[in-house]
Amino acid sequence: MDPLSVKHIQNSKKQIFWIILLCASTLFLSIVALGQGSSSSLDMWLTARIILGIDEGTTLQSNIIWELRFPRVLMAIIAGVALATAGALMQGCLGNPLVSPLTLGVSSGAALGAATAIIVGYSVVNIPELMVVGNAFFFSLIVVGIIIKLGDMNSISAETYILVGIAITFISGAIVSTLQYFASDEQLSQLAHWSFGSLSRPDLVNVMYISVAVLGLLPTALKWSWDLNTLALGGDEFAISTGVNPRKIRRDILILTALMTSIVIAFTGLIGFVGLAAPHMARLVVGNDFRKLIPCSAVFGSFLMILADTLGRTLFAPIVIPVGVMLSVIGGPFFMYLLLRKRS
Amino acid sequence: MTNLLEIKGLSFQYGAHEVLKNLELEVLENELVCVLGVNGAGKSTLLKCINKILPSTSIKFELDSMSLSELDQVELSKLVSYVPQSVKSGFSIDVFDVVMLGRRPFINWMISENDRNIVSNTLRYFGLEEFAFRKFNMLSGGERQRVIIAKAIAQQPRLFLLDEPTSDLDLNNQIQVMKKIKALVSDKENPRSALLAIHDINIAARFADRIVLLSNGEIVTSGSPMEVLTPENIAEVFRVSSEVYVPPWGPIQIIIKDEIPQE
Repeated sequence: MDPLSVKHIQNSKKQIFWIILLCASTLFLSIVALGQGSSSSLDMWLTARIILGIDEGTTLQSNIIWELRFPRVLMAIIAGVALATAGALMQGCLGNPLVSPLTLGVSSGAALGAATAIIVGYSVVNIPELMVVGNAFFFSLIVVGIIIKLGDMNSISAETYILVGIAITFISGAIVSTLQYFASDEQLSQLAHWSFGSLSRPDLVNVMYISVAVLGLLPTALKWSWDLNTLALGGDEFAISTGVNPRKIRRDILILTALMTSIVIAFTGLIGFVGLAAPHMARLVVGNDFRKLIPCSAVFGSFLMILADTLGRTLFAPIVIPVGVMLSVIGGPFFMYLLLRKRS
Repeated sequence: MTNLLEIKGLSFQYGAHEVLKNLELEVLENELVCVLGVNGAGKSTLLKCINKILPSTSIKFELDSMSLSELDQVELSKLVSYVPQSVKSGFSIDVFDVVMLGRRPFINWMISENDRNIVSNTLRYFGLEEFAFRKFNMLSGGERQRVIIAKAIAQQPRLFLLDEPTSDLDLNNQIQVMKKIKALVSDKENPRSALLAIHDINIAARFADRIVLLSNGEIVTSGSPMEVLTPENIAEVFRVSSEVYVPPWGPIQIIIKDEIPQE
């Protein structure tokens, strides 16, 4: 075979090896995370044995793991996968490295929904425990609807999507501020708590539903890899010359990512940073081939989420620092280090 | 000789501004056609209409006896490859992978051994081996232009649409690249054609089988370099005075002298 082809295959194998290594680290970290908590009777090895079914543990031990910690860690994994994948896809199809799943205004829509439910007391869902979540999801769907409408317009460009997203963010922000002005102290604290971003809200059944939805949407995301490769490198005209329809691809991708983001954010609150940082970290490892960038971003996303959540739970125990805060505090500097190191 | 591309009654307008007016153009198999004209004459627009980057209306628009309006973008990209004037590099990838994008219309997910070999051979054909695993955005303008032309060749189309393919290249590379395109187009076994928008009149005179002079969206004249590139035509279209030197062998050479002031 041609030496250039051989080198290309070698590079590709090296990148796949890194992704596998990263998967293994994430798995290891999840087991560590499952072992961390206030119950001292559960060390890491016992946890691992209980999860793998080697040891059954006491009923209490298995309840702590399966009903308390497992949904939380699984939620961290799924939220990481969804937000990081959405980030990678959006950065690619809008050709902009500054874009994150929060850019299109889906999350500010969700925040408006949450604020309406908490402060006004109105929600489209009448089940008490799902009032906030349901309304947050419904309002973010309205934003998805706006994105669909935009996509049907003829002359819509990548910049227009971003600018409309920013406008939506400002509008919902203004309404939320107005609502806050009339809110009671208790309502304010409830809303603030929602905004911090937390993984403890959904129970196992909810997490299962979210997982099915997110994992169901993933293969579609991967299907666009080649189209994204051309679009992210050379822009619209270049993409058309290799048989891609940039307008359609962009519209479809933004609808999918907005949906994925809505599903997660409705339950977790505002977690933004992972969607910006994970794709960039993945890029440093596997480059810009979306066939590898999408899975690698997803794994990086889960890794970051579990790490941030576990540190948030253990660092100042028994005080729990919300995952959204933790993510920005640790992830931010680390992200800056990675980017600056690459430049020099 | 058979027609590869046949256009009748092609018009295009940006808003109220009519860029192409009822254009008629044919490109034969194994033919290299250069379109010359001033800035804004409609050269790039013509290429973009053929590649369906811009939507156009026309009475007859056929490629290889298939109506262009019936071909979807993927089918079209197997027949036509387009090299834009410049490619902005957003998220950069290795040069090898840039050229691999030319294989995108043929790839579902996995890259086949055949695709890899086509890319390797094309890189070698263009003397780009040493750049193969460098990042595209680290290259100079001229190197990038060669990579994008290599990508178009890896696409193995019937028709090349090249918009100013030599604009960023040094003198040596201009001749090298044009010779390679000419060699690909002259291959009788594997009939391909090329339509170039170009400013360098001497490059056109040397390599074109036919030259089309475009002015204000209309074809002024078309024919062999000797027929078209006369001092009168050059004065009319470009408003410069010139001298045409016809050597006993080889292509004609045009020496541009001075601008002709507007009356």
